[in-house]
Amino acid sequence: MKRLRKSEYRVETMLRECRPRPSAAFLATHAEEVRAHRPRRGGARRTAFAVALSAGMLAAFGGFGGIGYASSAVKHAVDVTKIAHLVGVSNKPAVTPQGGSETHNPTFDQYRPGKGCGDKNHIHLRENECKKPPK
Amino acid sequence: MLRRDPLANPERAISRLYAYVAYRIGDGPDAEDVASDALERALRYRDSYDGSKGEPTAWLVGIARRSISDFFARRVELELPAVEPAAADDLETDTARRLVLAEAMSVLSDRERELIALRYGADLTARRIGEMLELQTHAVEVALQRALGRLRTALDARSGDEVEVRAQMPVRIGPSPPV
Repeated sequence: MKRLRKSEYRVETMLRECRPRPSAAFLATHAEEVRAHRPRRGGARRTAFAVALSAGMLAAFGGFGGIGYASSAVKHAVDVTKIAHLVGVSNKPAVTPQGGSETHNPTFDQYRPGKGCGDKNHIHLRENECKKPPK
Repeated sequence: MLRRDPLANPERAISRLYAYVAYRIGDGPDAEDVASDALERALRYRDSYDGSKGEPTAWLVGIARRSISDFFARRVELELPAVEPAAADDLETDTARRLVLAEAMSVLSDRERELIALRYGADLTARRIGEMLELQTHAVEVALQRALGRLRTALDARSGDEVEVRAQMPVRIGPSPPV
């Protein structure tokens, strides 16, 4: 026999404190089972993340003029390619008598003739900017 | 549809589920069976959980209610497991209180037990209980207060200033339709 005083009966507290608890074995077994059947939903989440990131980047670039900058850079590159094609610049490196590549030679890069206006050996892309001697 | 794993914290979910079931049908192996059945169903329908319709515990309790209905349908009369007799010396106060509470709970109607189980077992708010049982929050609170009052009376009736706790006390619960 166990005797409890009436004052111990605070019903709500009692209901919370005496809440039935599962046994440790039951809890462990079922928790493990639940974890073993964890659903994999990474695919959809990853796709959503990629889309959101792309949209965010686009918005950021658009906001700060990055898209206009990129498009003008592409346009410029296309123009340069066109001019190079017209004046016949070759991508093929010239071979020096020593067997080295003329275009990949530091000496050539530094001292090659003609880098300014009025040099006949130089293909000047902005010739209109050169000061022309008075006729 | 807001998709979220309702069993992301299995220990917490299982503890609440078990507490709810045990308050409804009594602590012991039967509660473990019913809780296991509910968990099995929950795992099966895990992907269909919609977070926008309610919290995970409410979803889990909804499944457990069906398991409890099936349990009552299977058994015409349920006898709660007899509490193992213990010597007076080693009977802890906590155990004694559980016994007293279990006995007092038997005076409650099935609906009152359901409310007590949802509120103090599954730890749902009155609002959530109202949503689940399609009742106004105020109505749930009133019904809960009434159930607590009856429980208090039952506990007090066990004795005057002191309560005797019997070690063996089979409590019989008749089958009743779910609330």
